[in-house]
Amino acid sequence: MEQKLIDIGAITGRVGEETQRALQRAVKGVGYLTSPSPATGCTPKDLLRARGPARLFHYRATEAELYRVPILIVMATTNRGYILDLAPGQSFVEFLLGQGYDVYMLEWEAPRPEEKNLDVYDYALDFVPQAVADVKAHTGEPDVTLLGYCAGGMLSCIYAGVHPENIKNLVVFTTPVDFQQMELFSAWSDKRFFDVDQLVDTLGNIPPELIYSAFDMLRPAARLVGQIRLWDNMWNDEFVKSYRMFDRWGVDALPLPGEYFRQMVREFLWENRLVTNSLTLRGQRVDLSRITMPFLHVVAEHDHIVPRGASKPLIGLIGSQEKEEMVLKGGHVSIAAGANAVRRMWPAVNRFLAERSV
Amino acid sequence: MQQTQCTMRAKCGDEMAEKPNLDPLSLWREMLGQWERGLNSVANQAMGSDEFSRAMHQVTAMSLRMQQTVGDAFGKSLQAMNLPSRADLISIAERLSRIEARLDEMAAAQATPPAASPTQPPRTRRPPTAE
Repeated sequence: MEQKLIDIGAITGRVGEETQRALQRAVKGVGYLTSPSPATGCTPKDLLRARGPARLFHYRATEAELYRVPILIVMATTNRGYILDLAPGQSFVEFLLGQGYDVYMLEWEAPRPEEKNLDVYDYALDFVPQAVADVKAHTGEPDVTLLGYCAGGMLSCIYAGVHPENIKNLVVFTTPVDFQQMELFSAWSDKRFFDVDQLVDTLGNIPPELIYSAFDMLRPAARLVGQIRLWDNMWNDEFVKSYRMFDRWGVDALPLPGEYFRQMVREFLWENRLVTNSLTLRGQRVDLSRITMPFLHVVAEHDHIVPRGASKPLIGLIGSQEKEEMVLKGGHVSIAAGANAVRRMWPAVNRFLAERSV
Repeated sequence: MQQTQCTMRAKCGDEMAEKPNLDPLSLWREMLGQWERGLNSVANQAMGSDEFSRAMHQVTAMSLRMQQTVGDAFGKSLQAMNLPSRADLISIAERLSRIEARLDEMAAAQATPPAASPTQPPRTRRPPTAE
């Protein structure tokens, strides 16, 4: 039997398809340049407190019945919170609301020049506990689940390591604890070459361009290739929408207070105090073994920002009996906000929290 | 006989039994992905070196020194013109922030915390397995 190695029909079809796409690229390319970015962070919410760079929001419930224990999401200090509320159907916040949780988010604004003296203590042991207290007062419930993303997870763990009695459940994802395993950041902040004092004393707050460039340098080809792929997929409205949302968020980095940055470099990158359980903030010792509430750490298998080595020791440092580490497919951002998050991370977090939120 | 040949090809995973990928664009997209991974890998190795770190921070340090010098020069010019510098404005802003913080403390001591809306749904939900 003769098998056709070349299917003329299929090739003709492909040529036709690509020709159509090429025409659409030209037309939609113009539209891309002239149209605004898609709206993000659209789930209705109310501002409960604004203090310094901290903003505590309460998302309006969508269900007629809620779980007893509310969730307080603590966002990373370098980026905006709308990554967890990108768009209808692609929003972790919307998902949690739909599952019946009462959702709050502690996110950050750019610190003002006069806020350059804010440090890790202010974020982890002032803003976070204030938010926890506000959530308890607003709900009338004595219990709160803390859910931290990346550096937000780090702040949550620090707070829980000092005041474990204030938290019912602790969930973190893509959270670093061993900063020397973040090899490139470690190399770039090598104390032999990097004078952090000169940088902070000259600039005050660390500008967002420096933060955003550091993340970009982890994958230097990504931006160029991303733009090539964007052009290749310009005919695909869903691809373009997703690209615009993620791209906008990626460049929408926040500046960091100077003292916070100085402390992160000295005590976390250079001295690695968190993983050695030797971190002390204004006399208060951070002891991760004091964390004894139910704990979940979701790790991204292909995380280029927080490599596996940087997050792996966390589960061993936590003192909880009920603790779990889950490694899921995805990258640092896509695990929580990508198209597959709805099938992977979100249901996993829901399964963990549902029975622990009554 | 023909059935046996087809079965043998399937078992051996013979690629000739599958149609070759003659889609040049698909091949180009694969190559793009491989090129990206390769370039990232090479760049990461180079950027993780002491030489790169030293060079990057030498450039940064020079830029910071220039910024400091320019800032000092402007500061002196503003002082000569009896105008406030950026540092002066930041200092005023810090004092305002401290005043605001004290006002917040006083207000917090007097006021009640943000209270829940009376129209909040009941907190009686159970997980699906419990129902």
